[in-house]
Order: sequence, then C-alpha cells, then structure tokens
Amino acid sequence: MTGEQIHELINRDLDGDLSPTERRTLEQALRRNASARRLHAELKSLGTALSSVRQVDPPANLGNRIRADVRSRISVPQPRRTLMDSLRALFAAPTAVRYGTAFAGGLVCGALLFMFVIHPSAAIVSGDAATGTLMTHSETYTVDVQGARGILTALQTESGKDLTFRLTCDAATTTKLTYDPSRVKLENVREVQSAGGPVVVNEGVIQLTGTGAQKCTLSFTGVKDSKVNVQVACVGGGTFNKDIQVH
Amino acid sequence: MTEQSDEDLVRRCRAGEIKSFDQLVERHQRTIFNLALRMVRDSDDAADVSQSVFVKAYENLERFDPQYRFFSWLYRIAVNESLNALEQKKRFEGLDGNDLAAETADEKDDETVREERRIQDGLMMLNVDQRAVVVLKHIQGLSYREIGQVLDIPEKTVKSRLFSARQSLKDILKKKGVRRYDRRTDS
Repeated sequence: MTGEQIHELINRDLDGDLSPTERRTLEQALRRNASARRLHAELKSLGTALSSVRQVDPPANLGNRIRADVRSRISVPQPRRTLMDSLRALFAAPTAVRYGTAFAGGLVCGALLFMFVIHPSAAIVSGDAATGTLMTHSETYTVDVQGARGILTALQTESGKDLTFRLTCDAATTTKLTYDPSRVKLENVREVQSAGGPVVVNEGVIQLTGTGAQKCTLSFTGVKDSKVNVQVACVGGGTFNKDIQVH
Repeated sequence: MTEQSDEDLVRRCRAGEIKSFDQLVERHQRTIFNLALRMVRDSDDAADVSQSVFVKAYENLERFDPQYRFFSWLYRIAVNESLNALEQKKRFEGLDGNDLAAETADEKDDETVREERRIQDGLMMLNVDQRAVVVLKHIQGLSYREIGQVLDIPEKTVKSRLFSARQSLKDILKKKGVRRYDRRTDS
C-alpha cells in the first residue's frame, strides 16, 4: 500500500467514511508503519480540536439589523396612473371639485413662489439651535455641528410622521432616535444604515453609530402630543437635539 | 404545534409573507454568523456578512431551487459573501486590530481560549478554499456531499481539498508550537 493510499484512508477514517474492510486494511497499515500511526494520531487530535471550537453568539441586534435591512428593500407595487388618467378623472369630476382643485393648485404655486423665489430663507432654518419652519406638512432641519452635517425631514402623513435623516459624519458620531413605546409606534423601517458602524433598532430606540454616512427613513404613529426625540452627538463635541411631534 | 420546515417558510415567504422570512433569520442567523466568523475572523465583519447573506437570500428567493436544502443554499451565499468581504478587506489590511481575541476579551484567558485563538489563526493562514472545507466539515459538521453542494464542486474535490487542508493546518499549528500536534505516538 502506498503512502498516498494510507493518507487517504487515515483522512476518511477521521470522517467516519471507511467500510469495515477498509478499516481493517488501515489498522494493519498502522500496526506496521510508525509514521502513519503518528499522522493518524495528529490528525485525529486536530479533528477533535476543530470540532470543539465553540459557537459564538451573534451580536444581540443582528436579527433586528437583518429584518430592518430586508424590509427596507421591499417594494410595494403601486398601480401606475398616467397624467392623462388624472386629467380625465378631473374633468369627469363635479364642477365644484374642478374649481376647488384649480384654486388649491393656485395656492400651492403661490406658496412655493413665496418660499423659494421671493423669500427663500423661510423654508429652512439651520444650526445647533435646531429650529425649523413648518413648510406645508413638512419640517426640515439642517444639522450642522462640529463633526457632522446633514438634514432631518419630518413629513406629516395621515396617521403620523415619516422621518428621513441623512448625515455625513467626519468624526465618530452617535445618532439616537428615542420615543416612548407606550405612546408612539414605529410603523415602518424603510432604511437604516450606518456606513461606519453598528445600527440598533429596538423598541423605543434607534441608534446609529460611526464615522461616514448615516441614513434612515422611518414611519411613526402616536397618540396626541407624542413625540420622537432626535439626538446627534459627535466626538468632536457637536450636538443636535430636536423633538419631533408625531401627533 | 409542529415546527414548520425551512422549505414551508420559503414557500410562504415567496407568497409575500415577510414574517416567514423573519423565522428563517431567527433559525439560521447563529450558524451563518459562526460560519462567517471562522471565515473572516473579525466579529463585526462576520455580522456584516451575515446581514448581507440574508438580504441576498431574500432578494434571490425566487431563484432558490427546492430540490436542495435551504441551509445549503444559505451556506453557499455565506461562503461567497465571506470571500467578498475578505477581498474588500485586503485593501485595508494592516488597519484592522479587531479579531476574535476582542470578542473573548472579557473571558478568562485560559488554555481553551488560547487554543481556539491559535486554531483560528491557523485557519486564517490556509487559503480560502481550504479554509472553507475545513470550516464546513469540522465546525459546521456538513457531509462531503453537502460541502460539494455548498461549494459547487465534486465530492472527490471536497475530499482531496479537505485532506490537504488538514495536513497544512496541522503543519501550521506545529510551527506555531501547539504541542498536541507535535507529539510522537510511536515511542
């Protein structure tokens, strides 16, 4: 029997892959060959050591991270409606609705003209003081603190608020969204990502940590006067703190 | 109530029941994390790999062939994602000081822990093909056939790769001075 054949039998023996005849052949070879015996013992010892390597618990938030990431990729197909479909529906509507729509359209155009052309500074207010101006049903705040800058947008929905957060961090930054789960419900996590560090999504707290890009898009609903607190803290010392009214 | 099989959960998930996928995540995240950990060593990287494994699995669920076992398919994605992570990490090699040691830092630094660390170091010195077969065989407990399915190679190749990997690992551990692989048994 060649050395190569013995080597194969030894390896297959370790994996419990030998027939009784092959096993007897190996045993005979081992009795006659000291270096084969040594190899057999060493590999057996290696197999035992490898099999006894412990299983490690994954990070506690891994399941939540995966679930949030998977949900952020779910696309709900919406029926496509063309401009012509919309116009047809409008012309088919009662007169009062047609005039009402035209009037509302005029108001929206006027407001947009005022905010972006006549008096653009009314749309966004920035800084550590974290003040904002209500823009129709959306609030936008700029975060511009030492070590991090970005935008926080809160959009009023029929049932609550959609929060979108985009931040670029030059220094290690922790962004924490906290809420009282007995008053506020996290309805939807469309996106939670932190390029430079871990993400935690637990009941009552969403936390992104690290340097680089941080972003999240979340939907909340809540009881009257409920709120979500958004806090940004950079290692460099910059802080941002804002309560967003959910209801 | 009997536990639903992976294949049942996959079917439900394909029908749009996202909660069935949550159950699959719950069921397999620990195994996938450990497979990734032994492939890439770093705990944070292993968590990132695990996350992208499940996201890829979800996005490609329609392509899953039910004639294979779900976990084999998941392992296959995990091995590929681990290789991608290692490839990306090559660019930043030298910057990373966080390894399995960090994860066990608060544990008593006894002989078992030290030996596990040496074994992990030894695994990292194997080439990735060899490392994959050793991890799948000895740490995940897969058969030759299952390893072949995961890595998409014939059983014969699994065996020859595994045998040479074990020989290399034994030699590496000997060089690192692990006595149990250097003892004489014929004296």
